[in-house]
Amino acid sequence: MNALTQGDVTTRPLSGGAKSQRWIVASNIATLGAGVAGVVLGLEGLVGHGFAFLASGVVPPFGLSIRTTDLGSFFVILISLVATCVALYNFGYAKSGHLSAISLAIFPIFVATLEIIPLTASIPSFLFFWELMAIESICLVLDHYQRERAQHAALLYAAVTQLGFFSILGFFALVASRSHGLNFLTLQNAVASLSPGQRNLAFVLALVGFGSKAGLVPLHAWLPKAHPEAPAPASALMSTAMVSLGIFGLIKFVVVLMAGGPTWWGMLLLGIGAISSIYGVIESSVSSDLKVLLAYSTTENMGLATLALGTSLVMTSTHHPNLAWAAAVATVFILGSHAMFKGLAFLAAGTVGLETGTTDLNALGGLTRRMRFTSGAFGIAALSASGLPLGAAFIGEWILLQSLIHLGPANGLVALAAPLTIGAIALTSGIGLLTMVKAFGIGFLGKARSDLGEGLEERFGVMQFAMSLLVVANLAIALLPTAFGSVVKRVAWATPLHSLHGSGQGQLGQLTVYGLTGSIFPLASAVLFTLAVLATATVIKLRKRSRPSDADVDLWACGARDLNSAMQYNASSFAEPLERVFADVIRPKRDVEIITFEESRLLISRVELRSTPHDSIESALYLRVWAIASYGGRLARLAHNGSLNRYLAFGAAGLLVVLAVLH
Amino acid sequence: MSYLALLIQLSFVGLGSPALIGMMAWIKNRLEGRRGASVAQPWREIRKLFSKQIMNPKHTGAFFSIGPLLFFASTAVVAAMIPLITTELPLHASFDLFWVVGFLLIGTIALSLAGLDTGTSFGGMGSSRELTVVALLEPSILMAIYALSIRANSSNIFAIANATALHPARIASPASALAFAALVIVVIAEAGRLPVDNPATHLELTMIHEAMVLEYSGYRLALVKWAAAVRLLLLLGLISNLFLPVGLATTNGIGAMAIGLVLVAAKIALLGSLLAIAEVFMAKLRLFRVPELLGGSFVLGLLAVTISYYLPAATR
Amino acid sequence: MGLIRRIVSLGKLAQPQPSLDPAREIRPDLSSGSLVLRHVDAGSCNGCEIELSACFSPIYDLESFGVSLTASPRHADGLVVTGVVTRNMQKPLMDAYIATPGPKAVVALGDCAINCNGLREGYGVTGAVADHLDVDLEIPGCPPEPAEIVAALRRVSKR
Repeated sequence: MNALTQGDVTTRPLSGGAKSQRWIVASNIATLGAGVAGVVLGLEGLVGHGFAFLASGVVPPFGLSIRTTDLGSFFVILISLVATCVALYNFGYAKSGHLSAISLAIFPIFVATLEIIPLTASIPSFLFFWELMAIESICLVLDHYQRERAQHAALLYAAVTQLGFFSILGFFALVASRSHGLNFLTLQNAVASLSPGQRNLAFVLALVGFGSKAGLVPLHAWLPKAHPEAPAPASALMSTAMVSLGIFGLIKFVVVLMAGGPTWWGMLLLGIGAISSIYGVIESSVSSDLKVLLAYSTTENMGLATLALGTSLVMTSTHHPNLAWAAAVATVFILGSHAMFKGLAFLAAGTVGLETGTTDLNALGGLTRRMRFTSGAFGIAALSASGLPLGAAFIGEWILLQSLIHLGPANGLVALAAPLTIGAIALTSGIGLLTMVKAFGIGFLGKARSDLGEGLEERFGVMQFAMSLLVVANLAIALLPTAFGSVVKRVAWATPLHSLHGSGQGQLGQLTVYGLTGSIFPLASAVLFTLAVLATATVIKLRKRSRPSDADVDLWACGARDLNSAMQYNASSFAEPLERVFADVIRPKRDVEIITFEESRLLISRVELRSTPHDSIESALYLRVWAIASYGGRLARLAHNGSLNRYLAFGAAGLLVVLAVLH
Repeated sequence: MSYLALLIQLSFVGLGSPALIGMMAWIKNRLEGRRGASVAQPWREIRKLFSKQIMNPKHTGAFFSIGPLLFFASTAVVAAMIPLITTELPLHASFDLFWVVGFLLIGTIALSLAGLDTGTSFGGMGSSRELTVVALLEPSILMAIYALSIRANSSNIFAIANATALHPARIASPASALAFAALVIVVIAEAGRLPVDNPATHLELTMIHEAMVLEYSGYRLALVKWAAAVRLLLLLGLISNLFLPVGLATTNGIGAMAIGLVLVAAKIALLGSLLAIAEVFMAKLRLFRVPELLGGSFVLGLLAVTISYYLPAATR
Repeated sequence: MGLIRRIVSLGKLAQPQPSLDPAREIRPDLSSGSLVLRHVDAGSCNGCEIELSACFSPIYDLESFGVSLTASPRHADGLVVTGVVTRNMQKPLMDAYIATPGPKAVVALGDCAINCNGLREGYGVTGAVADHLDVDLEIPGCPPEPAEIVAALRRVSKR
């Protein structure tokens, strides 16, 4: 009652009072429990015996149907690993009062929902939890619901996610139309009897439905709006676990359930993946908010995963089983590494936001001295995300490239698509590099660009511990990808594209792809690199006596004195050259206003440059759809003017039409 | 024995790279009617810098001081991963072209971060420009590698070199020529030579690479200069051995390695001279024209790939 | 094509310079054969600048003797100062000196830098270079001829 009279639950500081402390601890323990349980269940499904059951009381009237598959278990492990780290992180994050009571209540349920979805085995169970996930995530976006931007973001997200839901609903209606049961196993047999037209329609519906969840262009616009509003741990979960489930849906229902299709399916996936990755990375590179940047980067990575999936489908339909398999492995690696580095990046961004009160790159800087652990963690995440060797994302991209270069003589569309695909990957990784250097270099290095307050030096607490777990995961993928070989093999096998056994086995850490020549050895390079750094440093140290002693001096900065922090390059200026190059894609909005003195118009008193970030696809497409929809709404409004007589007439007319049709 | 080969290669790269820079400067000087400094001049400069004082500017972060170290070390690792003299290097089965090029970029990134860490406008400017060039360079690199990989059916450097050695006709194939042209532009941009960047300039409006290293003194500057020289040598050595692997030893015999060493030095010197001569006739491009050049390189790579797919296997 | 013809027809422009007398060498601690200088115009009439830039032309080719100019004093082995030290340039001159890593040399180029050349009483003049810094090498003349500058700087670069 107290909360109601105050009118607002979320503004109530949760940090005070023993009761709220208990509430926080209870919520986090529940989330942690869900996370750990998920890891156990996933492992049981993947390396144990697996399990299947029907709990008739849970989703009435059909019951909750659960069955482990290799693919599903893999996603459960992926989700629950991130969830475990997020739960640990929340012990520190929630203490600061940055999580509302509602978010705290939702967290454990959200994690449980995410973990159940990949295991569901029937349409009603899947849809129930899919929709539950959407509602919970909308609530998380509305953590600060009194903010207008949060309301706008949640509305947009709700609209997109409901569009996706209806699309998935349509997909299931179509697929189940010839089936006698709603179980996925019975469905699989019925799919074969669909006509090609129906199958194609079903594929498009699935693509729209799951693509919207994965944040693929053009249904991506909710991502960069929702993430800055949701609390960082929620962003971490949504941007890794939830979007991955979009790709999971595509694999599960397009590749497994419908067993692939004609070449153009793969081509369409490939095209959408390529456009998403390029558009995502370009928008990401010009964003100046850390969380928006990471959100666009999610679109980029999901685009890459879709591209890999599309490659896999194309290779299947053109009878290249080895290459299809390699691309499937690449998909799994891309999803796995993305979950790890993006989760880490969002948690680090959350710590920055907590400590400095902002995630605006144009206000940040100089955090390496103050926040050593968080800076290091974000550095690792950025290295992983940049697609450089010794980073986690490189592995998936490399395997995908291997799949493409081994294509050999091809003809027709495939021979044209393969180079363009490589071009898309290359452009994405090039700009991705700039984006990640910008995120880390501008956000954490140099000098603070605004007054970020006096903070104590960061200590290694539970939040830092949670991040270090993800750091270890990132390094493990990057340096010892072969350790995940057997897991990935089973998961990629679960996409029934081929019937190959085993992956190439080399020395410890030497990565080869079965049936393809070429290998990389990340661990050896890392060791060599470390040795080279240490050797150089030692030589230099030994020669110390041969040079004058070091001097502490002011920056030279080309003779500039009174250098202030606003004179540094910032996020906008860093990406400006690239923004010029891609001006046709992003269409930057700029106003320059020159204000002159009253006395003379030749004397300028002030120049104002305003640059408004915006999403060109959003403004081109969404606003048009919005305009059409509201026009339709206005037309419809003419029909219902409140007169009862008219409504009765409508009813009568409708009845007559129905009768006429049925007759 | 393969470790001896590695040692010889590292010494060749380390000692030869300043001489390459010196030779290129000498050629340019002679063409401009000058006397020209001795070929050993870059060597003297690097040696001198190692015994100069280190200036630690206030308010710079840790990345500022370790940036040159990472730049140098990553270059050294790449120097151990490219077959210049012999194919029998340790771990040669894992020398993937994608990996090697990516590793070179690690050094670039380390230096860019160091530039940002100074907190000056010049450091940020250099870093931003360098990254813009790299972002647009990467597609060309990957495309050119792709064109070479298709016909060797592998992106392993040794496999590509061997494939060319087995089918000498391919050296003059259209795909080769296009990929070569694309890679040359890549090398010029990556090594920061004209017309993309001018290593001799310190003008605000034009400099890219130099802007990031303005604050460095002593051994830090020496490491950066040395590593930059090594990178140029490695890139030239890489393209000469990918397209014309003549003399590349396939055993670890002393004789074969001696021939390999002489021939690779000759090939690199030839490429370096051509580059230097070309630079005399060129002015630096405006920064915002550079993307057009890199875009041209990308299109050349794309054409090379497409030709590789459509031409019959024998002529690819 | 025109450029190629010019290159061929011009040949080597550089004029031969007298050989270096080891007895006149100074600053033995700067014996690497490479001398990188940062030029500071402390208040010059630009006469010395014209002569200095002539030194780096193909005719005199000072770079072939291991001497070069740089923009950042961090990369330099010393300063070459021209002109009297004016009030406005005094601090920048000292800044540039402090920013130069040791061991470092200071070269005073031209009469103004050496002894103010009659401008000492000027209201904006704080003195000659030697009044502010320890000068290692003085190159007299108003302005000194390029050949003299080349000969003097070679005493430091020792090439």
